[in-house]
Amino acid sequence: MKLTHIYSSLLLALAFLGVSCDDEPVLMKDPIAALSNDCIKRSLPVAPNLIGQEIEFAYAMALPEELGNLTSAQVVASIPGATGTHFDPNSYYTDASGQDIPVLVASDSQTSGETTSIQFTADTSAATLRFYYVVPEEARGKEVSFKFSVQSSNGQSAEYDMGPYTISNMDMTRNLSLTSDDACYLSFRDNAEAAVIYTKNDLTADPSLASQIDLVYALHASGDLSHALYAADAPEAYRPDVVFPSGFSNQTKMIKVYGLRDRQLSNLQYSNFIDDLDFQDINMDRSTNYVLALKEEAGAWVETADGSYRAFVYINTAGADGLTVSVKRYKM
Amino acid sequence: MKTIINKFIIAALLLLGVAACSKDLPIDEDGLLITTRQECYVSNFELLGTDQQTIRVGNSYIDTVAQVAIAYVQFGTDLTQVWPQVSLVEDAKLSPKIPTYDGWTDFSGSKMSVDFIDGDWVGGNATDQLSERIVGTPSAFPTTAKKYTVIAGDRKIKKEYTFLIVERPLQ
Repeated sequence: MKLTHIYSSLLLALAFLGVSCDDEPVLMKDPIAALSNDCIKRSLPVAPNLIGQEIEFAYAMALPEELGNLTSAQVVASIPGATGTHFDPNSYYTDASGQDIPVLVASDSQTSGETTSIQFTADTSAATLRFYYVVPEEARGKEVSFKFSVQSSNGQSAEYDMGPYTISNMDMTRNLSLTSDDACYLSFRDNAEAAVIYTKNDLTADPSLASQIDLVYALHASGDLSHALYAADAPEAYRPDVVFPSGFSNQTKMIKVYGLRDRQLSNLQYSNFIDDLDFQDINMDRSTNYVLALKEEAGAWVETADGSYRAFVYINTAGADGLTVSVKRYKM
Repeated sequence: MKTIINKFIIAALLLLGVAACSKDLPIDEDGLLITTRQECYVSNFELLGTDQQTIRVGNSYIDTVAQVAIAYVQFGTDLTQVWPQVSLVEDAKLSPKIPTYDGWTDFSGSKMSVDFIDGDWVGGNATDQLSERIVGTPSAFPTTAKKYTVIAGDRKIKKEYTFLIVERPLQ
């Protein structure tokens, strides 16, 4: 009984030895004998693609050293990118402390129409280039896709398709300063910007601007009111000493929220995103015509009086001189 | 000998199990146990604004004899969209129920206008003097005030509470 145990364990040990001695490396797949490539989208997949903002890709290409080196790479977008669309001419590696270290491998990229191309200057058989696509106005609400390709000195080429990616309908404007009693008029009706701030001087120069104002900001010494936003029909009891400009009549709707930290509005902190769908779905029935005591990381959903725009106002900072706000706006 | 003891222990455990299962309390229409508890009161009254933050200032005042709960809220609070949270004694339940999803309720009918006198507010919080004065004059309660009924654990005792809201003057 005991002897068989010893024999079997010995046999097992021998078997292990047999396996461990077999140290010839084995390739899992066929060896790579041609130019190959790969691509990832570095911008977060859940992040809405906004007009004027970048979509970032990393395009990797390589061929065996004995076959030659990389000569050029290019990407064709289905909709021409806006000014600023480019390849980063550096290839990056990560050093021991986690920093991305650039190595210049190519000349500056050229963009004409849909095509952005780049010529390699370094004698390299492998590189990963970063491609930045600036979303143009023409792409609003559409889908955009990309065809990456690379050529090598032995005449081979490789292709990689990315997309399609949906481009959001909404606009975004960041870091607007609101000051009490001066730059205190907020409008969501501009054609290009998600939000525009008018000052008292702007209004004196052009009184017709009053009809464009959707909200009036005021900073009160009282802790109950402090940073406040008012629509034209806000009750007077809750806006002491706030004088509305004549002609301001927009009964804007608001819903106060706290802790809705949009990554794009908060300058790349946090990881929530407000997308087109949120503007379509938000129930504005429970709105008010004033919000009081706003603080940092608070915000408000807004719907303009005519219902043509919805917006989200995020409070970046709330200080003694006023508010810094960032706005996403969606045209209904 | 050993096996006999084992059998005896198993039989005893089985008996215990049967005894534990036989305590069958009835279940009410919401699938909740109807217990023997006869306590029937509100222990806390909380109100959340649209930003999910509390709109109360200081603690709510609850008079379990007069069956009144008063929440003191910040100046300027919009009461048409608030989410009430009512804490109850163990096993009790509330009627009508406050929905767990989309519980936004219009509490503006519960707002009382009170003439404040000296000593009503200390450090931003309402004093018992104010609370007791409000509770002492039920004729001044708004007729539109929200009322919820607390049902005790035995489902026999029911008490209707009046929920009032008082807005703190501007601070």
